[in-house]
Amino acid sequence: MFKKRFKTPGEFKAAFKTRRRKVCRFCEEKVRVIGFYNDRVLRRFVNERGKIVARRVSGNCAFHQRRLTTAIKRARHLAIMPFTSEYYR
Amino acid sequence: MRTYESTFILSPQADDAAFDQQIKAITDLIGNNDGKIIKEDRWGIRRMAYPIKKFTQGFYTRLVFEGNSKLLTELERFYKLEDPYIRYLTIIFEGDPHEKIFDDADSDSNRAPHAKPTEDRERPAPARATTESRKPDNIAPVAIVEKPSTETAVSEPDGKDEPEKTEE
Repeated sequence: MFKKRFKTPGEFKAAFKTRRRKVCRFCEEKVRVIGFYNDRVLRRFVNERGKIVARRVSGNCAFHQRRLTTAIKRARHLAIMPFTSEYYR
Repeated sequence: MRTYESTFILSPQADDAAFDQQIKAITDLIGNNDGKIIKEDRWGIRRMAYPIKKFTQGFYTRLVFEGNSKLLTELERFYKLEDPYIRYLTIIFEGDPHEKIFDDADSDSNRAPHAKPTEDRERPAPARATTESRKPDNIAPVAIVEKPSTETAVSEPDGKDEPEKTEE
C-alpha cells in the first residue's frame, strides 16, 4: 500500500510516526452506555449537516461506534437530534 | 420482568396540571399492569430539533420501569390512541445506576462546576479525576448548564440511598 504514495518504506513510516494515534474517547472514559438523551455528547460525533461522523474520522472503537449510532438514531426519533440541520433544509 | 425506559413527548399546548395528569395516566397504566416505576425524569418543555405534528416544542418525560411484555403492548397502544403523546420511544434500559453514563451526574459535576451537585449518585472519585485530566482540549467545556435531565433519581438499587425508594 505504501508503494503507491511513498517511495520508500522509511518515508511511509516517518509519515505515520508524526501522526498521533486516535483513541476512542468513550474507551478513555470507560463508558459502557451511551444515552440517547445526552445530546451534548452526541452532537460531537455528527457533522454540521447532522450526519454521523465515520469511525475513521472520529477515532471511536467499533463497540462504541455501534452504540453511538443507535443512540444518535434514537435521539433523532425523539427530535433531540436533527436528521438534517436547519440550515440545509 | 425486565427494566425498560420509555420517553415520550407531550403536546406543549397544555398547562402544568394537564402535563401532570398525562404523565400520571402513564404511570398509572404501568402500575395497573404490574409494573413498577423506578425513576421519573421530567425534562420539561424543550425545543425539538424538527417539528412534530407542527409543534416546535414538546414536554419531555422519561420513565424507567420494570414490567412485562404485556405492559409494553398496552403502553404503546395507549400512546397511539391518545392525542397529547406526540412521540414516544420505549427501549430496554441498559444503564446500571452504578455504571458511568457519559451524561448525567458525571458530565455535570465534571464539566460544570457551578451546576447543581448530584451527590446522590456515587461514583469512584479517582476515575473522575483521571477523566478530567485526560480530557482532550477540543472538547470545550461550554454550554453545559442547560442539561435536559433534571436528575431525580427515585431509587438506586443497592446504593447508599436505599431508603429513598418510592414504591408505586
